[in-house]
Amino acid sequence: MTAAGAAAHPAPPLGGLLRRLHRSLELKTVVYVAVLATVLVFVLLPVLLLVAFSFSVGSPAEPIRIGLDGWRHAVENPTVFGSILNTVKLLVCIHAISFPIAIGIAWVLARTDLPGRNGFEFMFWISFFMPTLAILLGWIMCLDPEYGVLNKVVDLLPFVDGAPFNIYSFWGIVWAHLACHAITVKVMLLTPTFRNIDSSLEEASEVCGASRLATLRRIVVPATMPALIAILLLAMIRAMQSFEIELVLGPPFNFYVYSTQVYSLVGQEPPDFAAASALATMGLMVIAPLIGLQRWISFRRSYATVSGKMKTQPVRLGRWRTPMTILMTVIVLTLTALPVGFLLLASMMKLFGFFDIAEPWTFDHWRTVFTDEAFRQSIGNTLTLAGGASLFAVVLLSLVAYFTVRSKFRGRAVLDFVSWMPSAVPGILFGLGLLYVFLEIPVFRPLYGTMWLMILAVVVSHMTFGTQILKSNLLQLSQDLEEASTVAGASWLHTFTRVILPIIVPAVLLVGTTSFITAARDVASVALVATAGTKTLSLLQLDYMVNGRYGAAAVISFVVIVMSTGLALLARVLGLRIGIRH
Amino acid sequence: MFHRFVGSLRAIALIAAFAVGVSAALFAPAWAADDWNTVVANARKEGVVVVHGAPGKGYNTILVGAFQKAYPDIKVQYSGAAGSVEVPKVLRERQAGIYNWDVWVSGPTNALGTLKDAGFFQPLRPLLRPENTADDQWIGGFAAGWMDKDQAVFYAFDGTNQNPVKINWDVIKKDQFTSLADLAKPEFAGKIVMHDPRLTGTGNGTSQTLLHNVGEETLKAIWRNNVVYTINGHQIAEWAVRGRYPIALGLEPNELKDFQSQGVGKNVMPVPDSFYKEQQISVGFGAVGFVDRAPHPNAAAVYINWLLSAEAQKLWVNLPRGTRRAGIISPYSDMNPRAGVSYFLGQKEALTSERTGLIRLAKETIDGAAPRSSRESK
Repeated sequence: MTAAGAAAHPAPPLGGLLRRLHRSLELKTVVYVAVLATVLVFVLLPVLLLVAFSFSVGSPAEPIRIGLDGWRHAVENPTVFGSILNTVKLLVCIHAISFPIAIGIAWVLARTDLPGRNGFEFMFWISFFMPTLAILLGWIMCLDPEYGVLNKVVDLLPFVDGAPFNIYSFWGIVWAHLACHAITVKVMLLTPTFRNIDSSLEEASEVCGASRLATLRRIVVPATMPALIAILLLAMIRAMQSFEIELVLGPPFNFYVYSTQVYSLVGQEPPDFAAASALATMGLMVIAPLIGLQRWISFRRSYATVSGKMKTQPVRLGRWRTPMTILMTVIVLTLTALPVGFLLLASMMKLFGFFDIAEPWTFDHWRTVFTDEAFRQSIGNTLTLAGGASLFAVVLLSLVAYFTVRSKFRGRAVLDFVSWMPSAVPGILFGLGLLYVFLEIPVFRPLYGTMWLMILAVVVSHMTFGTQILKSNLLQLSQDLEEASTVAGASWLHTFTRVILPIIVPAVLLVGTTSFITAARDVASVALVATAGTKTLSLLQLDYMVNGRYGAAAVISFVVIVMSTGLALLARVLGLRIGIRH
Repeated sequence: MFHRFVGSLRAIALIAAFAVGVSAALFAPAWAADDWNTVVANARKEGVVVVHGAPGKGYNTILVGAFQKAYPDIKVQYSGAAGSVEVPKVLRERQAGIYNWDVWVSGPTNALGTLKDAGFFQPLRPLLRPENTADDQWIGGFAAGWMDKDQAVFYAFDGTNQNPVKINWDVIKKDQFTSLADLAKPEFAGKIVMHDPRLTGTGNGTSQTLLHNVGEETLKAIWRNNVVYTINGHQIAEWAVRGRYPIALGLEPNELKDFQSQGVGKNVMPVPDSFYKEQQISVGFGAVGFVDRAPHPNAAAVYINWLLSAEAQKLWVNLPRGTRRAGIISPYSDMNPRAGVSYFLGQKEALTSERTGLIRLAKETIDGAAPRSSRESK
């Protein structure tokens, strides 16, 4: 039922309305308390434990003793401050380039009559499913200064002397981030947000004589400011925590960043959790004010653009239709077809990137994976984990976002703040905090080693991303929709499930799909709570990679992409049926 | 009277001895029984052995597949997760009173550095069968394989010739490189890649071998010689094979094998033995411990004895690795310790302080050096 439908119900007598209001308030309060408790126990507590680890002395075998050794190790390392500076430089460059590009792409996809725009948007989802390392290896094959295919081709040109590109450089790392997920993630998040803008705002702007660019700059961007700020912050935090690219491309020119420092501390044997936690706490201290700033901007005034009278009329591209279609095709192919090609090459080459060996092609990696008993078990485990995590994430994160944005409960700001925490600390350290919670609180102990705790771990690790997507969409909804539903006698639950959720269904499905891919692909969140019997595809892939079997790992990536694409297709079909049509 | 008293004492002593014997028989760990058939029968009843081992299919094939083939009634629950993930997890499990693990197969760093001190292991010797403890069955005798100082809980069966310095001889001419000290020469600056010596593991072990051969000052000069440090073993192998960094320190044989089996990098080879005064025997992931309060002690006894047997060690050398088990030769000749070369087992607990000291020294030397941003070419 839509808002208009809800509003069409006859109003009940006043006494009945009060009784219903009372009942719904009670239910709403109970649900809020349950959600807040879940988030505090499974998110805030592990983060507090992380801070405690930074002050602990001794091995993980011993009870926590207070000391400053961890902080001393972290601060005394002469490369730490250089690494932080490198991180800042990198973040500024990546986002200064990717953010305007993503805004432009998302606007074209969401607001114009570009042919095949839904298909293009879907291709960005597929790009999001691509594993970073596989894309990276592919780009190394193209841009290595000595054997890169693209360098060799360009070198054939008469006016070019030597290899023009070097992926083992600062700008090589920036390019790798752009080609991996820096643009994709932003487009995925911005497109649903832009779609929720009332087109009468744009029409008014154009009637007043503003150009398309001016309308984008002065109407679209300000109207979606909370989403833009949240997405920028989210992307920055993600880039801060990502380490695969820097780990592979950084060593030849001695380039280290914050995340590689944390990774080194955690990866060594025995791991230095105290120093790693100290670094993570420093990161939290930097991110915390930014989260506060984001909240202040989001809630200082209303950004509602979706009301009962909302109208969506696509902007006509006119003579820009063909060039824009070509440009979008090139971008989408670079971000999807090329990586899929790299992945297929990796899965079918005896040695990735070595074309000059006697018989470079093989199906051995596929045979290895498909005949591995562990693969069959992992598929079952992954489907259970990813399916469970998607469903649980949709329910929990929708409620977190709803209570943060639409309720007046005390503590909703805490809920909002805490929902950022899982992304603000390195995954493996957050996983360690979760492990402590699971083992130290007796009520959870019987669940240890079961799929339930893995599902919880995945949902919590995906909380920031999912909540921010939903929050951005909810901020755009006008209060009049809920008020109309309540006045018409609908309960809170009815309003939530029949009015709010259908409007934000594309965002809800996006959250479900991205939770699925997180569960299928993420290692950090599940590594510490998985057991031999609950191994997932991501952990199997890690086994292959650690043993240098990159071909088999590429096959697993491919399987995960196929599974995720199938789910994404299903989600979009469902979304078109369930969701409201603009 | 006195005789009666003595007789009574004897009777009491006999009864006491009988009682002790019966209690010992009743309450002693089943795996300590002399009757191996009983141990195996009990292991079959337990039906499961929970093993932590090394990551990857190669290890999985032996540590799971081959054992399963030998003892189909005992199912192996296996985890090959990295020690940095698994160690904090198992220690936290034990603090919560959860005892899941039976057998721990790994390198010595975490096992001796963290787990042993936490009481994670119980004595290994009582459950070993005589044919696995005979001195003539092991290179250097059985006792040489103990990694812990007390020779009680953690035993290395792997014995691989480390050969940490490998060179792409297609790029570097043999007369250019004639001793390990040449690694510090300016002409090789920017041509060396090394497994990161600032962390535990291969890079640390490589530094230890170099220290024993060239001394501290030359080692520091090598570290400062514009070396590229990484923890990605596959990347080291690929760079050496392609000649991007023709000198590779800490290049793992299994990483190189992937390339050489396809006909590339055939001339990436270790420097001659004559370059070394002393070589190191590396244990890799090949050492084993019996976990304290193992839930399946009989199955653990069967598993550990099988792992140390000649039958299992014949499979182990195909990883490719070497073994300390006498008479078993790795098909990868570089892996086998050679006659006439002096060796040391660098991962023994007795040498822990040397290895830790090297990590500290590497951090001071490398991180304290001026940034080399000039190396960023384009």
